[in-house]
Amino acid sequence: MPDEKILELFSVANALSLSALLVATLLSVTIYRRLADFVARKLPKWRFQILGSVPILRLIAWLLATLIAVFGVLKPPQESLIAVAASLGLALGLAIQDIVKNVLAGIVMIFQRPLTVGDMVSAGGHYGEVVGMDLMAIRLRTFDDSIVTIPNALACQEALLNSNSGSVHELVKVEFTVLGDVDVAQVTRLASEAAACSPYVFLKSPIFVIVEDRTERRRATRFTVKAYVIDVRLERAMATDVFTRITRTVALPDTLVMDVA
Amino acid sequence: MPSRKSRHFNALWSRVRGLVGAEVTPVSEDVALEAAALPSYEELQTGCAELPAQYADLFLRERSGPEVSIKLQQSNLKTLDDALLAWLGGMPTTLALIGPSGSGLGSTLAAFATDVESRGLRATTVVPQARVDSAAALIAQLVDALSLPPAIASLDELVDELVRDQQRVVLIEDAQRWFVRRMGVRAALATLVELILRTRRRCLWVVSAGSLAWSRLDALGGLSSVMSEVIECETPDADELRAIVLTRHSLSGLELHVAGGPDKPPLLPPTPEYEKALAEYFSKLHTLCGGHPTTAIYYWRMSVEASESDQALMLTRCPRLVLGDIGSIATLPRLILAELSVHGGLVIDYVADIFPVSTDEARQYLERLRRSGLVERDDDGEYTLNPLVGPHVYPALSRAHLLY
Repeated sequence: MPDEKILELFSVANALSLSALLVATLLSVTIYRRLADFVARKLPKWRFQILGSVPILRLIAWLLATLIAVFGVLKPPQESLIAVAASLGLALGLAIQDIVKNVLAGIVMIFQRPLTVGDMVSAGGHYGEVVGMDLMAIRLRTFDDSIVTIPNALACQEALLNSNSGSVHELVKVEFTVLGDVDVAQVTRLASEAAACSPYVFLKSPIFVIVEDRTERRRATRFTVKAYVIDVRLERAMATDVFTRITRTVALPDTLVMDVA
Repeated sequence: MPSRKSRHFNALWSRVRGLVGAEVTPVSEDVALEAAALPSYEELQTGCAELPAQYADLFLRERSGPEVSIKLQQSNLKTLDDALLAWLGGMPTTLALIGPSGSGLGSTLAAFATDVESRGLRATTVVPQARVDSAAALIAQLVDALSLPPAIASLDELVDELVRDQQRVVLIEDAQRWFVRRMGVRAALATLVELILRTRRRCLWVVSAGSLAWSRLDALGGLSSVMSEVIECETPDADELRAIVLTRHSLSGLELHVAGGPDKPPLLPPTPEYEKALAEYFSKLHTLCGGHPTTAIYYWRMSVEASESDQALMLTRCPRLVLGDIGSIATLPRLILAELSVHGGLVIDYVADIFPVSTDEARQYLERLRRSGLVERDDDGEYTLNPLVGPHVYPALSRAHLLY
C-alpha cells in the first residue's frame, strides 16, 4: 500500500540513519574547514587555494548527503518522489525564490570563481577581505573590522571588483594632489622612492607614478603611486605608510590631499 | 618554546618506538633547546671546563679552521678565474657573488684576491664601513677604501681617477651593508651602477651580497643588469660540514667515540654502527644549522663531552632547537625580523626610520626580539638576526611573504 510506504519513510530507523548522516556530514565539513584554516595559517602563501576549496567541498558534501538520504536511506516510491519534487518546485517558485536565487548564484560563484576566500573585493557597496563564502552569501571583513554579509544573488547582479584575484600581492594606489607650482619630475622621483622604502611594498613588482593635471581654479597636480603590497592584508598599512613617507619628503602636508583606492 | 603538548608527544612517540622495538640510536636522543636560553659562544667556552683547553680553543668562533675543499667553492673560484682571464683579455666584466650566510662569500673573495695578487695584479677589498644614503656618501667610502686622493668628491672625478690608474680588481664584500631601505639609497645604488659601467674595462668589479639582499638591491637599483654573471654560492652539504668539523677535531689528536646509550658501551671506530651514528648526527646537525659552518661548530661544542679515556672525547647527542611560532609574532616585529635578515643588521635609528616608529618603540621591539633569542645585539648597538636560529626563521618569514 502506498500509504504504508510513505509511513515507512518516517520510521525510527530512517530517522536515526538521517540523523547519523546529518551529523557525519556536519562533522566532515567542520573538520575539513578547521583543517583548512590550520593549514592556511601555517602556509599563508597558499591560503587562497586552501580556503577556496572549502565552499566547493562543502557543496559536494551536502549534495552527496542529500543524494544518500533520498536514494540510500529514504528510498521513496517513484510517485511520491515525483509528487514531492512537484510540490517542492511550486514552493520554490513561490515562497523561497530569493533563497533559490542565492543558492544558484552561490553555485555559479563557486565554480566560476570570480572571488575566493582571502581576496580583497568590493561588492554590494562594501570593500574588504572575503572571510567566508557559502551557498547563500559571501562574508567580508571590512577595514573597520566589521563583518558584512552580502547575498550571493546581489554579488552576482552587481559589478564585483576583485583587487587581487587569488594572489597574495595586490596593486595599491596612493593618490595625492599637490597644489600650486611643483617640480613634477622631482616629486615623481621622490614619491617612487618613498614607496620603495616602505617595508610593506613588494619590491619585485614595479612601482609606477602617474601624473595628471587637475587644475581648475587653482593649479593642482594629481600624483598616483601604484605599488604592490607584500600581502593583501597589509593593504591599508602600506597605503598609510607610503603616504606618511611622501608627506615627509615631498611637500608640506597641507598641500596634499590623500585618496587611497 | 617547547609546549607541554609537544613534550608529551615526544615522550609518547619515544615510548611507542620502544614498544614496537624500533632501534633508538643514541645520537637521535634530542635535547630541546629554547632560542632564548641558548648560551653565547663565550658562555659555551667557559661552560666546557671539562674539555681539554686546547680542544675548546680549536672551536673558537673567531678561529679559522683548516682548509677543507668545498666542491661548489672550487667551482665558483674557477668561474671567477675564467672571468678574470676574460677581463684581462679586454672584455668588460663585472661579477656578483651571492649566497646565504655561511656560504663562504668572504672566504671565496679572499681566495680570489690571493689568486689575483699571485698574478701580479692589484686587488682591493672594499668592506662597507657605514650605511650610505647618497651618492656623495658612497663615493667618500669608495675613495677611502681604494686609497684614492681624498679630494675626489664626484662620480666623474672618481671615474677619471680609476680609468687613469692602473688596472685593478675591486672586491666589494657584503654590499648589502651599504644600502638600507631609506630615502637616498636609490641615488647611491645608481651611482654604483654607473661607476661600474664606466670603469669596467679598467676595473674588474666583484660585488658580493647575501641572497636575500641581492634580490632587493636588484629591484631597487637594477644591479644584475650590469653583471656579466651572477655566481650563486651555497652552504656546505652534510658531508662537507662533517669534513669541516672533523678536520678541526682531528687537530686535537683525540679520538672520537659515540655514546652508545644507557648501560651500553660507546661506539668506536671503525664499526658500521659508529659510521651510521656519525652520519645520522651530521645529517641532523646540517638541518639544525642550515649548513652554516660557524653555527655547526657551536652546536658541535654542545654535543661533545669528556670521556673516561684521556685520549678520546664522547659525541653524545645533537641538540634540537625549539622556536616559538614565528607566525604568531605581531606583524611589525615580524617585518623588523625580515628587514634584519635582509640588511644583515640594523641600529635602532635605522629601524625607526624604516618602519617608521619612534626610536623608543624601535628599541622596545628589538629588545623584545632579543629577549626571545631571535635577535642579538653587538657592542656597537647593532641588532642582527641570531645566526643560531636563522635557518629556522628564514623559512617562516618566507612562508609569510616577508622574505622574497
